[in-house]
Amino acid sequence: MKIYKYWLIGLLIISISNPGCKKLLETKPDSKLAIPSTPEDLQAMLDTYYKLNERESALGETSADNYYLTSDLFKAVSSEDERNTYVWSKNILFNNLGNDWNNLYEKVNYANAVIEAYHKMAPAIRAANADILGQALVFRASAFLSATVIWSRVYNKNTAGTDLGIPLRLNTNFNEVSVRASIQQCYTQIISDLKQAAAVSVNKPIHVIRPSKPAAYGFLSRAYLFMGEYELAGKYADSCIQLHGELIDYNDINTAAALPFSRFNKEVIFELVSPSSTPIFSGMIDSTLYASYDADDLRKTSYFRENAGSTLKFKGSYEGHKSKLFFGLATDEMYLTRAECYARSGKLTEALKDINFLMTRRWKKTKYTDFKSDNREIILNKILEERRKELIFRGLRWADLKRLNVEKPASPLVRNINGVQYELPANDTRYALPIPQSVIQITGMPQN
Amino acid sequence: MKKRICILTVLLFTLHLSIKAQLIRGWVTDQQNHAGISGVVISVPDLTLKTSTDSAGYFTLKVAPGKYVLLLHSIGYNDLTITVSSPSNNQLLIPLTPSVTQLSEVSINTGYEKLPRERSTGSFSVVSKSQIEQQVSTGLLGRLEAVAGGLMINKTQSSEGSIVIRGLSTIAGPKNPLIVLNNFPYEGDPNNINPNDIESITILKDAAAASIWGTRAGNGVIVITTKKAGFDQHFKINVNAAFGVQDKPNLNYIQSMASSDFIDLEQMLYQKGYYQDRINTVGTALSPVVDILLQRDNHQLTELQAQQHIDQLRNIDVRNQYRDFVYNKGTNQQYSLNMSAGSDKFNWIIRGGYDGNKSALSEKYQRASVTFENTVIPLKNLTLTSSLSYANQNNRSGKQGYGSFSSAYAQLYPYARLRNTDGSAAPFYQYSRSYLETAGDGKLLDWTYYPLTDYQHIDQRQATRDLLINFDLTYTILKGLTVSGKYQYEDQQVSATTLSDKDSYFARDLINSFTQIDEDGNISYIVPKGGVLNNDNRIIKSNQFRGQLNYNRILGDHEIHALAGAEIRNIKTDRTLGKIYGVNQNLTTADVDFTRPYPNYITGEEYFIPSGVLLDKTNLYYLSEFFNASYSYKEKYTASVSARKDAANLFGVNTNDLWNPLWSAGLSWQLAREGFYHLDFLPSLKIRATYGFSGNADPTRSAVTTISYGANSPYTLSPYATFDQFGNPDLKWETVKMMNLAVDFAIKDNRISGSFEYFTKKSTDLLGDAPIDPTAGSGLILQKNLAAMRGHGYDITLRSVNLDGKFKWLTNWNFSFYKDKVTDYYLSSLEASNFLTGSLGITGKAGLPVYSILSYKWAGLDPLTGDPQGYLNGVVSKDYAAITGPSTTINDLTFRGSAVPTYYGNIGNTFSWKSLALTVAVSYKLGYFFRSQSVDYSALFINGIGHSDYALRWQKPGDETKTSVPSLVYPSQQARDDFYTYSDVLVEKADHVRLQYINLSYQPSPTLLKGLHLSSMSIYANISNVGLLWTANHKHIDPDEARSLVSIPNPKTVTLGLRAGF
Repeated sequence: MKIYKYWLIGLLIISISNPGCKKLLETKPDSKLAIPSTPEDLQAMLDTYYKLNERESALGETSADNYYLTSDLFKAVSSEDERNTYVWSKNILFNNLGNDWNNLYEKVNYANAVIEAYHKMAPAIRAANADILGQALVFRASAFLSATVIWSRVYNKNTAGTDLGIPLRLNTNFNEVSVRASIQQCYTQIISDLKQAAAVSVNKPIHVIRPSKPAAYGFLSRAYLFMGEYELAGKYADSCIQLHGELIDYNDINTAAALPFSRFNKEVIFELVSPSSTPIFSGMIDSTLYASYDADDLRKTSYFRENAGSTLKFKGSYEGHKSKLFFGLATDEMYLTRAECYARSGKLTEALKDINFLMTRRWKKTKYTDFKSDNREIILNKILEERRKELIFRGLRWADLKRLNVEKPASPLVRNINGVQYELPANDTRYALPIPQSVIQITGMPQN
Repeated sequence: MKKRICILTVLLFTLHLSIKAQLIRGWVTDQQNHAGISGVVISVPDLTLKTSTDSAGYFTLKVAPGKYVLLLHSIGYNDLTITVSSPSNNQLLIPLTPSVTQLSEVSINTGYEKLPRERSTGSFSVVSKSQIEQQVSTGLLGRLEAVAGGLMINKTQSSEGSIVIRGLSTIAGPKNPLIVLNNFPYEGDPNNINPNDIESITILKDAAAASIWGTRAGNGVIVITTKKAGFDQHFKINVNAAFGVQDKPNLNYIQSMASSDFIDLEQMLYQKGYYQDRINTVGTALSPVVDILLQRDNHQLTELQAQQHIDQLRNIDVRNQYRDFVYNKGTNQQYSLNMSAGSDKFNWIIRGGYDGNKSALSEKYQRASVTFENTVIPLKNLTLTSSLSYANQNNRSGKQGYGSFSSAYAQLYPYARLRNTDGSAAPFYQYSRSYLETAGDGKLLDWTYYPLTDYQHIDQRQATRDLLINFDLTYTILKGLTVSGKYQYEDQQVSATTLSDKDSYFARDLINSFTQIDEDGNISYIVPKGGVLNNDNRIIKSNQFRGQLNYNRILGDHEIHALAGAEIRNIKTDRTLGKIYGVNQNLTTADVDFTRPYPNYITGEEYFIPSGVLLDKTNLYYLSEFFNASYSYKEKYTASVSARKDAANLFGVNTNDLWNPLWSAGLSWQLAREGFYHLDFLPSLKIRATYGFSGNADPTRSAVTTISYGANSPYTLSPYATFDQFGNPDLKWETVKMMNLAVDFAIKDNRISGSFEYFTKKSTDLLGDAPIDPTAGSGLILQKNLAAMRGHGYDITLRSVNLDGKFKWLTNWNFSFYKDKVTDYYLSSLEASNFLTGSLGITGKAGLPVYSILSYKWAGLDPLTGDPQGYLNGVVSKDYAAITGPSTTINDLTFRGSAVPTYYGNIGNTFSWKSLALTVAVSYKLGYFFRSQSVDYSALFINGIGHSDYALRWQKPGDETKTSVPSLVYPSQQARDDFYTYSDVLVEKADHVRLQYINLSYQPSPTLLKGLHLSSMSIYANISNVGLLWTANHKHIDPDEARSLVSIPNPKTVTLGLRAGF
């Protein structure tokens, strides 16, 4: 009898160390937690839209030439970083926590985690969910492309193998020290990711917030364009248009509205958003640029509003928001890229057809007369002019300035603040923005 | 244990009684716990005869027949005079009432066992019932700082503060000490516990004391023991009633910028065009001054009118508005009732309490609690204790206090007027006034906010219901060996609701924002008219079971105590959050469309209606095995050992990594019991030494990367998931090695008694947030093993009877010292700005305290411009970007001192005379520094966050000799502001002495009590939060309230109360 009582307590102690308890210890402590391993887990990570789609960097647009600040407006910009960015200062502090570098690389990390987990899944599951891999690759490549445009110099075939690009982080090991790859390596990685993605992605996603095959083609077109590989840029723009080629006719929208365009309109191929940039939204539109829009060009009223003091303001773009910028892919960009590439390769008829097709949907009905020329230069210049006007504040101007300066250096960009003139000559080293100093400090990578 | 001695002595006594009948015999007991009191001096003044009670509290007096007056005196108890007649066949039972400050603690409760202090080797601090009862606050834990030893409440991070036992553990993981109620960790809100139910509190301080609680003991353990009933006890009732009044908070403590200064600044910024962007952005709210200036420029006001309007605002101080129109005096009511009785085989106690508080903002708080507990001995060797507790807390919102809302800027402008001169509530604008006047052609709901009356439309309630059921079955198998099973079930439900009715600003704003008016003026409501109800229900259910084997035996000179057991705890939480729209008086609701976005009325941007739905479930398992043993020889030498292994179902951790063993060992030596010991003046002397490991609760050590599911994406209508933990297999458990050396002593008659304890702490893997390369995409910081540290300190506890006699003076003194230093720092990044943040972080430099106040070297103001100056590479510099940038490392910073107190403690003095007793409790924190607040021009321009230092700013050459506040520059420079904020010149000494409370009580004499048919009674008055007695800084800042610009010291509370026992 007494022995029995010892047994009781002994049993209790043993029971806690036995395998039954192991089961308890393997119970999920929180129903919301998961180790990313199923297609649902990976898709859920890629659907974290506020981190993956809505944190594009406006540093390029803020540095570009579509707008200006008066001295008063300049001083009223609260963020010193934004003021420094405006005058192309080397002293951008980036001491705010959510800076653009971190945001883009956080996106890369999400994509890498998905890619790693994807490759650990069973072959059959992998095969059935290849689109997830495609989405992750598009997110990673687009983040690398944005970062390359901002923090590296322009692609130059002769020096790309040695020019400093950005760190290419291809796994989730945070202990790995970041090293700047060459620009050539950057573009090679971006293009290989996108080609792989295009092969496995779906033609039509359930929502344009998710990357797709046309999105992969669109970014391939952008990447080749920035490299100056015009033939391939045109080819992929064409592939993109084949899958998603609808254009809005601006005659069908209320151009007088405060926000004429709705989000996810039919031109949008893939959604990317840049949060507010104070200089751009408190700034004024360059008056020469504004004057270049014809009175019958519906873009004049749908993109801009005139303020009481005859100052000009940007209304906001395809984001349907007055202080957020649409940096995603839309069909108008693809038509302009294809047109430019046709023109460059001498396919002038095709180039004219594209530009006129787009313009008839931008001008008031019956007011537009087809642009005609048989001179390659004239046609190319017309296309580039329309490209700037159509794709204003779409996150493309900085890259366009850089690549166009290579073939024909333009006059310096100029800012005037309190009687001081700041200049950014074509091909200046400052076209590659300073990397956040804290990153330099931790990694020891060379600064721009 | 005590009980056994008690029964034994009763038996012995009856034996004696039968032999000798011609003596006066008596048993002196503690009136409260009925234990015999040893060493009570009994004198018979008529006969100049004296004797004292034996160790069990018995005495005999040989006297001739007659009537005698006996005088009983014992330290810690009130003197008593009784009249007896001899001879008598009856044994006198003489209860003594403890004096206000009871001197000797009865026993230590570790939560696993109760043991006499004599047998312990570890470091414990015990707070007695009388010390708890001298304070009247509703919460229990807040009462500890003024009376407990080796404990401090660190208020540098939050207003309620965190309890710190022997130095801060790291910031990683939970910061609170483990709260144990009777036998089990208490998972509910500690405020559920009624302080009037408490018998004693034991604080486990060193590794030997705490290691029985394993990894959860990292922040220390506080064991709360409730009042129990005794066997063979008459029916007793104890009641307590108290009523307190709390002052209005002193808003003038807030160093806000003068209204006139703020207005001048706004005028200057307006002139420079700073507000142009806000003015141009449709709908953006403007402050009244900016609005007036704009109206002047739009020719809606003349220059003179504008000036007059502005000048009227100059005289308003919003703090006075709050004082006069919002805050009231708060009231606290407290009632409690205890009833208990016991026979030889059964006892029971009922404890009940009610608290009803009304805050200075008319917020209501109620707590009702009731416990029924009984112990029964159904069989010879079996004891069964069961108890049932139920507590109910209710909170209800009141008015909106200072800092709870703003307009135009993130912080409310100082000239805000809450009430118009005609007494009506003043309107505030969250959108521009001029826009709202025309918006919607009167078709919209009123879109202005009335902070003075809006609270009438917001009903926020929180109800906490806590049910606690306990069973404890103990069976004695054979002599000295018992087996016990303990089980506790806890069910706490918290339901919080916020109803913002249709007239609340919250509801009106939401409805208007989503309202659509088409071109024909037809109105449609996307968010239906009506109130908005938020529901938040949280349930915690815990089951805990412990099986334990105890062995206690005295075999000749050998005394063995051992326990071993295992326990399992399961804690499940469940949370449901939701929003209901269109709530009307008759409780009808309306459906809304969460699936698509709708344009905002003002901006046209599209937004989703906030659904506010959240479901959350957690299910935690903790398994533990523990062992504890002590062996004593001849009651002189004691050795103890304790070990524990814990495991939990941490997510993403390999099972083998889950079990974390911790152990400790200790020795003690009762020196005074040695034959060679002859120090008569020091009759009690004991030396103790322990060594062991104390762990830290659950560091997030995930071997794999985990994700956490969030809500549904509104676009894909499927769930999204974010990273939860990044796989971090390199992380090591943080363990602290602790050594404790102590001496316990008491001089003759216990006139002075106390202990001196010296301890050391050593840790090699302190966890903290380390800055990482953001390029990795895992954020900016990651938990890493940052540093190694070494610390040491001492706790001195002294109790002295300074005056004894008619006028008594007792002192309780706790003095602690703790100092640590970093011995190794593992990270390569020593960027200064990483160590200059608002929160506490581990210092990255060997030789400095783990938590240090570091600052930029200050080189004064530039005499020409008033710019702050620092040093760059040893040269005076104004290159703020470089000074505050990554090139400045921790080695360039000035070290001022520790960020947490190095010396702290409390002193309680009790003076008593006849029936009156006065206690004054003072606490102090010394030897540390804090950063005082000042002007940050960037924050001022952008967010309207001002500081009174603005008036002291440098304005003209020569000012630099009188002030260190930098000149105003426009545009502001963040780096310049950061440099000043973290510069030397703002670091202040934080040393201070605080008068915690004063308690005056009246306890009627025994004769009067008898006349009133009471066994005890006390009428008391108490003043708490009396204020600072002294601070080292000259800015009149309370260092405990220096966290932010809006922290305010707790207002003074005066309470009157009555305690009585029947």
